This record gives sequence, C-alpha cells and structure tokens, in this order.
Amino acid sequence: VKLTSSEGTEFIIDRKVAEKSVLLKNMLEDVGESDMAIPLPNVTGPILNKVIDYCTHHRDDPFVSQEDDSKKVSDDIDDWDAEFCKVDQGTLFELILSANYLDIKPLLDLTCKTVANMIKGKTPDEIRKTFNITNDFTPEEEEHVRKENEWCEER
Amino acid sequence: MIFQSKSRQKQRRSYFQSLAPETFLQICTYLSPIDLLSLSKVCKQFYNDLSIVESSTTIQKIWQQSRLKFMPYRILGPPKGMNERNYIRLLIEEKCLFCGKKSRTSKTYWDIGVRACLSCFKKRTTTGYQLFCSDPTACKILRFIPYTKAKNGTKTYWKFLIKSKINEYNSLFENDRFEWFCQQSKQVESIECELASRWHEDYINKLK
Repeated sequence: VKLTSSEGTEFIIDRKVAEKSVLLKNMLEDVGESDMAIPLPNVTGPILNKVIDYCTHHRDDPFVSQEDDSKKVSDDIDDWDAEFCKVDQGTLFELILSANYLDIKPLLDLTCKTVANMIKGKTPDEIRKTFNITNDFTPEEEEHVRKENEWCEER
Repeated sequence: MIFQSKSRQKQRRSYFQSLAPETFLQICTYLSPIDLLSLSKVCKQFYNDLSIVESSTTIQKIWQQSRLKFMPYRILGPPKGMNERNYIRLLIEEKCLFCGKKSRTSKTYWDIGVRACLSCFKKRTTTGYQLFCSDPTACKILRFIPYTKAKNGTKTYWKFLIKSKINEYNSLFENDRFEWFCQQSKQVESIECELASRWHEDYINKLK
C-alpha cells in the first residue's frame, strides 16, 4: 500500500500495517488495492513515520472493541509504548490528531493516556506551565469560580 | 455561568487547547476527580468544557465515572439539586462554604448539603433543648426537620431550616394543617433514610 504525506513524501507499507487504521482499512475494502498512492493531506511525513512505526510494532495485536470507559486506566502503558511517547509536545499532539483522523483507536488511547499522565497530580498552575497555557481568568472570574459553591444567604 | 473566552478564535493557543472536544473529553476519562477539578481551573476554555455540567450529560458522566473509579467508597450520587462537580468539591475541598476559609474542623452536613467549619456550624445551629425553652411553635414542627446528631446524642438543627419550616406552618389554614403534618412526616422519613446512608458512607470512608 502506498501513502503520501501532506508534503508529498511517499511511504510504502504492508497492507496489514495499514489496516490498523480504520480509515485506510475501509478505504482499501472499498476501492481494492491499487498502485495509486493514498493521499493523506492532514498528516506530515515525520508524523506519518511515527504512526507507521506504531502500527508496525502493533501489527499483530488483536483488534479490541470499544472498552468500557469506567474500566479504562492510564497506567497500563507498556515499555515500548512509553518509549514511543517520549516525544516533544508538538509531536505528541500531532499524533493525537493523526490517530483521530486515521481512526487508529489504540494509538489514540495511548496518546490520550500520555497526556492524562502529564496532568495527574498537578495544580492548575503546574498544568498551565506544562502545556504553555495562559491563565485567561480575570480576578473577578477567579473569585466567582472560588465562590461558586459557597452558601448564599438568600437561598 | 459561561465565561466569554476569546481563546477559541484568536489568542495563541497551546496544542492542548486546540484539541477536538471529544478528544479533550477522552483525556478527561483517565483523570481522577482532583485532577478534573484542577484542569477545570486552568483556563476559561477548560472551565466551560468541564463545568457547564447542568447542560451536558456527557460531562456529568465523566465526573461521575471519575468519582466511581477513583473514590470507590463514594457510591452515592450528589444530593438532589447538586451537580457532580460541586459534589466533588464538597467531598474534596476542606473549605467551609459559609466563611470560605479552609478548615480542618470542616465537616459535611448532608442535611443541607454544605461543608461548614465548627464555628460557622455553631453560629447557625441550635439544639432541641434550647428551642424547647424558647419557642413552643418550633417544638411542634421540630420532628419534621433534619438534624445532626452529636456524639453525645444531642440533636442540632439549622436555624434557617427551622425558620422556613415555621413560616410554612404559619402560612397554612387551620384545616390544612393535619394533611401537612402527614405529608411532612413522610417526607422526613425519606430524608432520614438518605441521611443515614450518607453518614454510613462518610463512616466507611473514614475507615479506609
């Protein structure tokens, strides 16, 4: 199967690897295999490279259907996956977007877990620092948030 | 309250803020209630996403599942009229909701769904004995009012609850009072039932 990334780089991968992506799987089923490359205008070369790495490593994993949200935990990441996610934040979030677009559920789960683990145990201020988020609450709004569950005499 | 936030359109956003709502929510499903609370205080966008709970069952569910997953001894849902987020705050934050100060002595009073420090509690409550001496009408209706029981068995009542119950009683016609009494005793029975299960949960929680 041939894929082209947004800047036109061509990638050739096994069909089995490509089928980790539900988007590609459906497409291959619909159009059949052909020599034409499948264009992926939303995915850049370096990211597509990472995604292919992931799919190749996990090519033989059984397909898991939708898990129950209430059982999902974020500390069940194995060593290879953890190593895979040691990337800069830009790449990590690009991976999330691509996993979403290509519909690769396990990769989306993995990257979301990684982000969740970056949030765990942090104060709001530490979360802002980690993700480079500006605090856009005005002092009045902050006061409102602080007080919103307090007792008001009228009620 | 929804905060006007410019960030969705212009302002430079972090990668995290640019995620699709459903991806953001997926990340949230891995977080504990404490982390969800912190996240909701980070910026207006996250606040709006996580706090407009009345309008969205998805968001309610995320808080609820997080509670069940990370606080397994808190099986009961929020008291009537309270959303999951405020329920979590009530359970986690050691803040007195009357004076706003954090206090080790603060306790959750389920009869009114409020956490209060000891001094605010004392200021706003009265014992059955005190009432007995001072207000005969109040005594007639006292058994319809939920109370907090101290270790020595003294029943303590919130003054504002007594006041509103008295007003209710006084506004009735003589003829309607009997029916009102019947209705009240049924109501108080179910309230007491609920209170008992909440106290039980507090107790179990303290043990773990």
